[in-house]
Amino acid sequence: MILIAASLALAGPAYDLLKVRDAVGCDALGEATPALRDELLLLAAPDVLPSAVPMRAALCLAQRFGDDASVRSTVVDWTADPAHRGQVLLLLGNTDGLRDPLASELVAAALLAGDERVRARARRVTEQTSVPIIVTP
Amino acid sequence: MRVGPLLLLVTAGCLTGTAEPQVVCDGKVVAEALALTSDADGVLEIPIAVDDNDDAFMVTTARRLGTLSIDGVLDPDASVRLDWEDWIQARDSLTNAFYATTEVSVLNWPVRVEDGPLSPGDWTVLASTLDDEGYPEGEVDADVTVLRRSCLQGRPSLIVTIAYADDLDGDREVSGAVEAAAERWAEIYAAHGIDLDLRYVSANIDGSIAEPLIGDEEYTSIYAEIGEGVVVVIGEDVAGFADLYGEAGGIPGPYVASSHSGVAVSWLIHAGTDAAFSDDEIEVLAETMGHEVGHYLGLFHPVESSWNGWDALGDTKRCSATGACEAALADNLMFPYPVCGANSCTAQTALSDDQVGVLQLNVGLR
Repeated sequence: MILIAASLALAGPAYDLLKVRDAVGCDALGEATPALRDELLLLAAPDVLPSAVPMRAALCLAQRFGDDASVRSTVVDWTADPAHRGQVLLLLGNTDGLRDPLASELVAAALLAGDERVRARARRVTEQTSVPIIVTP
Repeated sequence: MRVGPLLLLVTAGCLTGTAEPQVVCDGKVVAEALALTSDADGVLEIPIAVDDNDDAFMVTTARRLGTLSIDGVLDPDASVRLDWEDWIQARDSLTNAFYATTEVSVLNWPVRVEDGPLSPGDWTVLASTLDDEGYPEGEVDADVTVLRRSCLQGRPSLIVTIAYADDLDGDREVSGAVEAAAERWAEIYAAHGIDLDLRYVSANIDGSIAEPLIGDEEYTSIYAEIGEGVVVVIGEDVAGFADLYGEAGGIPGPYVASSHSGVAVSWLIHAGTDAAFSDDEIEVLAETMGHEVGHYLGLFHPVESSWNGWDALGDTKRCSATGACEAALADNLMFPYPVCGANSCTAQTALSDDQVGVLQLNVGLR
């Protein structure tokens, strides 16, 4: 069932926009509907090719659906999953484009991540921006 | 129009004082810096003295304020060889020199093999100085650089300097993948008769690198230090467009220090969700380097992903729908996106003869 859903996402309009080399921008994906959210969640899977697509899907998911509690939870959980390390680094580099509480929760979780590159990137965010961080062990 | 003092920056491989001109094909480049002023109508006539050895020239115009477009080319018989009005509304793209969207305009001539060869004599490139709204503005000073290349003998090569932002050269996880990708890119170009001379430097800039198409003084500084060839800046991402694979400073790009003198490539977007490069991801990174530098050397996408715009080449297949375009061009290095299935992507390494012709006519190849 998951494979069928992933195949449908690969045939969807979001995939076609996210795969191109030129910049598209998350707004080009259209209205922030639950269907788009679900499509982006499928496209953010690590095995989707080309690998820029899940990266861009993660960014659009966080930018467009950061207020959705389930999306926020998924994104924050990525900080503990090595398979999503690249997406976390990408989001940490673009916290200016994320709304709170997603931005602060992401940075806080990343500061405690097992991966040193992720922790270092999160430390840089706290040094360079005014994102309010509350670290809870 | 006033012509200011002519400053010879580089001379090499030119014969002087001989009654019978000899053709010496050494691929060397003569650079001239001109300080010109447009006439009352905003027209700028740029003189180019083409000698027997020259097979291509590049004109780079930079206005001190506002914008400047390149409008056309006249040969020594005053025949029009290029007219911007033939192209400005066309769905086929030949050069971005016509579009006065930045403070630098670049024209490499001939663009295509069919536009040449150059005949010796006095050529003229016509340009316009424009106000901020795009209307001609007269009596405006402009800095112009003319590069003339002596014909090539043997395999052409391109100097490529890979500049690591943010101390990435010390990050073996990233620099190892970038160097493997660059070597793979060199193989791709070599298969089309072009050798790459790869060099690596560290650039003291932030990892979120600026867009060269928009322009940034970082590129001016980096190019001023390196001074030749194409500069590819590797950063974590491209500032403001975290989803960009990469971006070229122009089609074609300049070989003088300017805010557009570089190609930006994001390592992170290629490394994928785990930020660890697989062999397939290194292949796509190699293809991105080749693709973006292909733009810098003058190539457009054979077809845009909107399927209603094409390059101006005769041997890149015409198509106007996803299925037909992927069937015809999925393996082309300049296709607008990687074409992938569930388990793998199509290798994008092919170039048509006309595409290779555009690359070889670019004065950056020596």
